[in-house]
Formats: sequence, structure tokens, C-alpha cells
Amino acid sequence: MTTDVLRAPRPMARPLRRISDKSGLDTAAGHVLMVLLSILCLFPVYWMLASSLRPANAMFETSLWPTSMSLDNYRQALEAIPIGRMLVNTLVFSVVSTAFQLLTGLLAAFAFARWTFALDKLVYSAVALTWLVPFQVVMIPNYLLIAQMGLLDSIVALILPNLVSALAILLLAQAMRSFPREVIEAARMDGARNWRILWEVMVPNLRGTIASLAILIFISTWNEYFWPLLLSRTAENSVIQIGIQMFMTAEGNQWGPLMAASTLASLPVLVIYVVLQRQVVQSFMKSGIR
Amino acid sequence: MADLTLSNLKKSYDGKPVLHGVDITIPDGHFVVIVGPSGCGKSTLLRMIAGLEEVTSGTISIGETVMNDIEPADRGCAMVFQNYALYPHMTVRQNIAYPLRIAKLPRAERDSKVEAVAKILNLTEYLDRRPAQLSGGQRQRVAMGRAMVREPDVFLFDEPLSNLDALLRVQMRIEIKKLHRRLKATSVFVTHDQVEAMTLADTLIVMNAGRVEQIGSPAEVYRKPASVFVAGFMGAPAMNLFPAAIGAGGALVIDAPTGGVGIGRTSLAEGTPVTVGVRPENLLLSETAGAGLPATVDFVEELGGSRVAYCTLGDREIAATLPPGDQQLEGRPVWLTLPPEALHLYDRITGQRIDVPVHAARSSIPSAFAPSM
Amino acid sequence: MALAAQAPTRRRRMTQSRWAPWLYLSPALILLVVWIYWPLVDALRLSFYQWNMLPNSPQIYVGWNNYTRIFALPKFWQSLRNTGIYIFGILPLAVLIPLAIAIYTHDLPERSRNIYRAIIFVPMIIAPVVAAAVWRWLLDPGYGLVNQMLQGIGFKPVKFLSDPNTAIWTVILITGWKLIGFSTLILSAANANINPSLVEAARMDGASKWEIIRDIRLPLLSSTALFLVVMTILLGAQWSFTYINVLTGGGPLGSTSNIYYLLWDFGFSTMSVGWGSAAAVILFLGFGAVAFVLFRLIDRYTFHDN
Ligand SMILES: Nc1ncnc2c1ncn2[C@@H]1O[C@H](COP(=O)(O)OP(=O)(O)O)[C@@H](O)[C@H]1O
Ligand SMILES: [Mg+2]
Repeated sequence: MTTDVLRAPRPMARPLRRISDKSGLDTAAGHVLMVLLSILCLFPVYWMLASSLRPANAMFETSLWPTSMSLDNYRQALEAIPIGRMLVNTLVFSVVSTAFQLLTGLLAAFAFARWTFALDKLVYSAVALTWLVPFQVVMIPNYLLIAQMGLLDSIVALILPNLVSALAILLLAQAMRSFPREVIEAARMDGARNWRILWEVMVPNLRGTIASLAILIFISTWNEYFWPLLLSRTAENSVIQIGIQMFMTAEGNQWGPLMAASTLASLPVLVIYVVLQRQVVQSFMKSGIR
Repeated sequence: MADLTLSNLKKSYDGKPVLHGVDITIPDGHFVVIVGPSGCGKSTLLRMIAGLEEVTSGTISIGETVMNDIEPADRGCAMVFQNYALYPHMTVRQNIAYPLRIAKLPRAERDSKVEAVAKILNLTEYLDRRPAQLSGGQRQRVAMGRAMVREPDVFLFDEPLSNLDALLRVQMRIEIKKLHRRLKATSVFVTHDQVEAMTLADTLIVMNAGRVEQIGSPAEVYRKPASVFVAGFMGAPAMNLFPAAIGAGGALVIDAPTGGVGIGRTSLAEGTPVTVGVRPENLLLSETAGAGLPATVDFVEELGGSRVAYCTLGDREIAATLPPGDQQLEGRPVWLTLPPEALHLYDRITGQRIDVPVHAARSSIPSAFAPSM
Repeated sequence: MALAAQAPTRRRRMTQSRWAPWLYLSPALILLVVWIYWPLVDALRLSFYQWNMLPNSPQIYVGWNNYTRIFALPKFWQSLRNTGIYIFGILPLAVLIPLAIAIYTHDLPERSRNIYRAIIFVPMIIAPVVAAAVWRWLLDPGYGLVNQMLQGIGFKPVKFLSDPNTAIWTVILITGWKLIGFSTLILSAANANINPSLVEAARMDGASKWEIIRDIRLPLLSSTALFLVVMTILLGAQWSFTYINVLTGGGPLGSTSNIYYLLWDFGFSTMSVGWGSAAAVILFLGFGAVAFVLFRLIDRYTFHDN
């Protein structure tokens, strides 16, 4: 018999409670928590900025707001290392790496999304696996390869291993796979060959993904430290991260110029962040944990 | 000339056969509808014609040319997809013009063609919108426009109307039919909707499980379904089908609660296992005791223009169409008559139609004679 | 009809699609082979040799020597232990605290949430070197703000980076500082993604606030949290590399060195290619094994809320 769980008498009459409002206390505590976290996250950055603007004689003051401001630290930093040159190097490094990772990523992702071919799953896994290989594991052979090519201490050497990234390939392949197959087939029926389908149908529709990936790669490359550290010999051929490091290994700490150089190194990324805050956060949240 | 000929066309995915040898010839200018339940291979067939799926074996030819490994774009086919497959980043104008742009037509010619097509499809005022800014029906028309502008020999439609709401679907159905009268291009239209199939087709092809079950005009398919499958698939409410036996002298016998009942006479040999079919609208239902087989009305479905009574006859359910009215029938005993001339006979083993006439039974068979089924 | 008949078209055969995918893949594949797969093989080869990286000095085959020597090295075991400390030290900062914050703050109004979001994300985009520089300044034993404040309320200054007992925790905290906001955002997003009708259904069933957290939110957040845990285990020690390199150089007394730092130390401070490569192979195999197990765990314990 199927009678009738639903008609059985209720197990127990509950006391009737009023709808509890969102308690103001909880929300307030939430705000306090978030404000504390915000201060923790932002204060060091603010302190860098503030310190960089203090004149030398006020360097060790602890007032939150610099009482007097000067650009002395910046002048000193610029005299000590070729910051302009290093920023340009970093920019070239980041822009070229981003462009190439996108390019190789788009081409490879298109292959995965457009065809099923012998070994495709295997190749895809092989690409995905490289995302997990710690750079430290391959650094010595990479270094030796660069040395053999005679490219030590050059921007080209910085860029070469960064022309491809598994992340770009995987992310773009994922986006392309979720693009409706029928639209591609429609393009084929309309006479478009693969090259055209990639650039005229796929790419315009992946602009969002591509932009967010570009932001991610650019910022990560800008902040890259390890590989430049291996290759750098002279300040002229180094990136700005190495420049900052140079300040710290110097005898004694020149805090003022160090903070000035750090500020200069962070500015481009911070400007991007201020302008494109939403997109930056989103692109990191999608895939930026590495 | 663009006769479309498929001969012994087969398709398997990873060795799993999906189409088991399809032979169809579609004369130039015909509107052919392929209908069948989902998963029966309609889309696969259509996509093979389009060149989007590889042919496992057999040939596809358009006119004299074998198309098996010709590029999709060069087969002279245009396709309209179920979900429209418009280019999301292009305007309506760019969408329609895209095949022409790839074909490197001069701009002026392109524009005039796009305008002409847009006019036919009432899209002129939407030319500068993107697909996302259009309603379903408008998107559908853009997809049609993109197909038309290429002036293909063959139009392929893969369930193009099934994403539209009911009213729009009827409208578009009529528009497509009108358009075909005007363009007279060979068209292959795939659908699982039998009303769409019946109303659109010059020739109807019924498919099931990768095989063609019947090819014929809609009326033929309806009146003389070639197999049990077609009989059950075409028509709503569906044809009543039940097993029957051939008794002595070709008597057609079904078992009823009261025992075996003869319902007609055939020229078939005694013992032939058959399936009998009768359409609900051909069943006669009477409340007069003794007028036919005794049954009970379970449930009546009101359709406005008619009603369908679902009756229980022994342990089987039979649907009968009734004229409109409001007498209460649910739960009442009724008597059903199966007119012999309206019966369809099928071989119970092969499912194929047995085309022999059924005459009125001479007398009722004694119940002791009930054959086993 | 206005459309003119088209001229008969040339018919192209279908192109051999067998080669096309490889053509599109080739730039990426060649680069990956040159910069990752071949180096892996090369690292394996070099791990059996003794060599000081100078082009004209000989590579001497030493068999398993490099491995046995590394395993016999106290520094190796110290770094391995430190790697574990890093991972378990970072976990609360990268997962537990953010999880608590995410759950606790889920009903803040949209507007203020966006502002907090913009702020707590900032450390994530700051370059690790810059973060190291700033914290070094903040934590300076003489003039750093933190120590000045500690002194202000009557404490002795702390040698955050030069005391072997505190240095590793300082580096862990800095690594955590970079991550805490980011993890909070990820978990908040996952929390906000929980289908509100689930929570509503639970409320209809009479669940209390805490029961909703325990029975609905935590289980549904578990896959995201688990993902963060796995990433922290796999990458946590790597994230610390820059801080170790810039702030402590592995010291004092090797107390902050971890396996990644040791690798770099072997390879580029002591210029011992064989040791560096052997350590790389060990790291790679260990890392691979851990990753394999963790991803199996993710597969097993993740379920999807559709
Ligand atoms: N790419 C494919 N790989 C494997 N099987 C497929 C593929 N496409 C379709 N099928 C199978 O072929 C059969 C026919 O599919 P389809 O032609 O789409 O049916 P219909 O359009 O009639 O609904 C189905 O059983 C389907 O599962
Ligand atoms: Mg289909």
C-alpha cells in the first residue's frame, strides 16, 4: 500500500517564530571584519607610497600622513639604477610575452576545439601537465639552453620560454569548446576555411576571454622575478623587479629610494587595476591562482 | 538540375552504426520532409548531405556530381540550423552578407542581394541589429536569409522551428512553404513534429532507428502506413494497435474479455500472426449494449473540436475520437465497433504492412475457439 | 525574384583535415617541448653527472652519487621539513580564515561588498619583490613601523627576519598576506553562487542560521575550499620563493629554506648542476605523486551543485 506519508499527521507542532530580521549587529560585525581585512591588505601599499614621498630627514617618522613631501627619493632611485630603461625592458618583456602566449594559445586551442584527431586527448593532457611542472625543475636546462644560444643577459632570453603557456591554451580551448558548434558549421557552409573561422568567427566572439587572459598574463609577466633573476647580469638588460632587488642587497638599506623604485614598479599594474578593476579581479579569479 | 540522390548511405560513430543504408532520390524542386523520433538519425543524415559529417559508406550526389568528399561550401547546399547559428558579433546585414563576402563578391552586388533577401523576409528594418537584439522568429528569418542569399541548389533545414513558440511556429511554417513555392529550390526539412511534416511535405520520409520506414505523399503515409512503426508514429492520437490472429477461413480474431472475437475476414492463411491497427477516428463508440465489443471509458480528453475517449478493453487501452458534446462518459460501459474497411494489418514478425482487404465477419466465433496469443 | 543565377562554382575537395590540427598545434607544442619536456629529460640526464656549468669543464658521470649525497645532506631534510611548515602555515591564511570571512560577510550589501572586493584584491597584483621590499621596510628591527609601534606600547623590538625562530613565520605571514584577500574573494563568489532557493528551502524546513551554514553552505563550499587547499599544498612553498630569496636568503641558519629555494641554491649559488638536477628530479617526482593523489581526492570528494 502506498498510503500516504504525505497525509500522515505532522510529527510535532513547532512554536511559531517571527521572521527574524537581518540582525543589524551581524551586519555591523561583518563590516568591522571587512574593514580590518581591507586595512591589512591596503596599508602596506599605502605605506610604500607614503614613505617614497617623505624627505630623507623624515624617513623614520611614523605619522600616517607625510608631514612634508619631496621627490628626492625618486631622484636618488633614478640616479642609482637605470629605472627608465628597466621599465621599458619590463614593458617589452610583458607585452611580447602576452602577445605570443595569446597567439600560440589561440592556434593550439583552435586545434583542440575544432577537430577530433588521433591522440588529441593525450596531447591535451600533455599540455595541461606542463601547467604543473614547477619552473625550478626545468630552470637549469633552460638556463643552459639560453647560454648555448649566447643569449644570457638579454631581453630575448627572458621572453623565449614565455612564448607559450599551458594556461592560455587550456583557458582558450575551454572557451572555444563552449562556443556553439553550429555557428562554426554555419561558417563552413558559408565557405569559410579554418583560418578564417578562427579569426573572423571565433576570435571576435572570445574578446572577453582574450582580454581577461591578456590582463592576467601581462600582470604575471610584469611581476615575474625568478627567471630574470637567473639571467640578469647587468641592470641595463634587466627588468624592474631585479632593480628593486638590487637596492636591497646593497650595503645598508636605502629605504627611501627603495620605496620609490617599488612604487614606480607597481604603478603600471596599479593603474591598470584602477581602470579595469572588475576585469582584473575576474580574470584572476577565473584562473590566476598560479 | 539538382536531383539529390542518396544511395546505400551508411554512417557509424566509432563502429556503432547510426544509419543503416539509406536510399532516397529527391527530384529537383521538391520539398521533402524527413520525420522520425529523436535519435533516429535525421540530423546525421542531413549533416552528411551538407558535408558536415563524413560518409561511412554509400554515395551522396547532387545532379551528376558525387559529393562525398566535396567541401560543404561547394556542394550548393545551404543549411538552417535549429538554434539559428547566427554569428553573434555580426549585424543582420553582415550575417546575411558573410557567404557573399567569402565568395569575394563586389560590395555593390553584395549589398543589393542582401537588400533583396531582407525585403522578401521583412527584415529590412532590422538590418543593423545584432542577433541578440532580435526575437526568435526574426533570428529564424535571418538564418533563412543567410541561406537564401547564396542561392543554393538545395536547402537543408534541421528542425528550424522547434525553438519557436507554438503560434510563431505555425506562421513560419506557412512562410517557409510560400517561400518554397517562390524559389522552387530542392528542400530537405528535418523535424520530429508530425504536424509540421504533414503540412510542409511534398514527399514525406519516415525514419526510425537509422532506417527509412516509408516514403510517400503525406496522404499516402497517413492512409497506408507501411509499417507498424509508421502507423503508430503518424497521427494524433496515435493509431490503436493490438495483436490478432488469423483463424479458420481467414477470420481475423482478437481476444476480448468475453473471449476471442472475430472482427473481419481476410484471405490470409490460418495461424498468421498479425497486428491490427485502427485509427481512433475510425472507431465507432456506442452506448447501446451489444453493439460491438464491450469496453469501459476510463478517461475523456477534451480537445474542443472533438474529444478522445480512452477506453479499457480487457487489459488493453483503446482510444476513440468522439464528436464534440458534453455527455458524461467517464466510467461508463460502451461498445466499440471496428469497421473492417478501416483496419490496417501488419505482419507481427516483420512489422510490415499486409495489403489485403478485410471484409465483414460472417459470424462471431465461439469463445471456446479463442486462439492463444 | 531579384537574385540572378550564380555562375557554376568550382568544387574543392575536402582538405585533408588529418594534418590541419597539428599545423595549428605546432607552435605551442614545439615551444613546450623545447622549454619544458626536453628540459625535464635533460634534468634527468644531468642528475647523473658532476658538472660546474662552465662550458669547457668536463661533465663527469657519477651514477647515483648526486642522489645519495643529497639524501645524506641535513640541509635537504631541513628544507623538506620547512616545506611542510610553509604549506601548513599558509593553509589557515589561504583557506580557513578566508572561508570564515566569506561565510560571515555574505549578507553585506552589494555596494560595500564591491568596495571591499576592490581593496582586498590589491595584494594579489602587487609584485612579490615589491611586497618583499615593503614588508622588509615595515618589519625593519630599527626603524620599521611595526617595531616602532611595538616599542611604543612597551615591547622589545622583534627581529622578524633575522631570528631563526621567527623568520619562517614572517615569510609565511607575508605569503599569506598576498593570498588572503584573493582566497576570500574566491570563496565569497562561491558562497554567493549558492542557489538561494536552497537556503530558502532549508529555512522553510526550519533550519536555524547555524544549521544553514553547517548543512548547506559549508558542504556546497567544500569543493572550492578543497581546490584552494590543493593549490596551497601544491604551490604554497613555490609562492614563498621570492620572499625567501629577497628577505632571508634561506637563512638564518637555513631556517627559512624550502625545497624550491634549496634547488635554486644548488643550481645557481654553488653552480653544481648535478646536485641541482638531482634535486629537481626528486622534487618533480615528489610533486607529481602529491599532485596525483590530490587530484584523485578532488575527483572523489567534489560534487557539483547544478
Ligand atoms: N558525434 C556523434 N558521436 C556519436 N554518436 C552520435 C554523434 N552524433 C549523433 N550520434 C548518435 O547518432 C544517433 C542519431 O543522432 P541524430 O542524427 O542527432 O538524431 P536526430 O536528429 O534524429 O534526433 C543518436 O543515437 C546519437 O546518439
Ligand atoms: Mg536532430
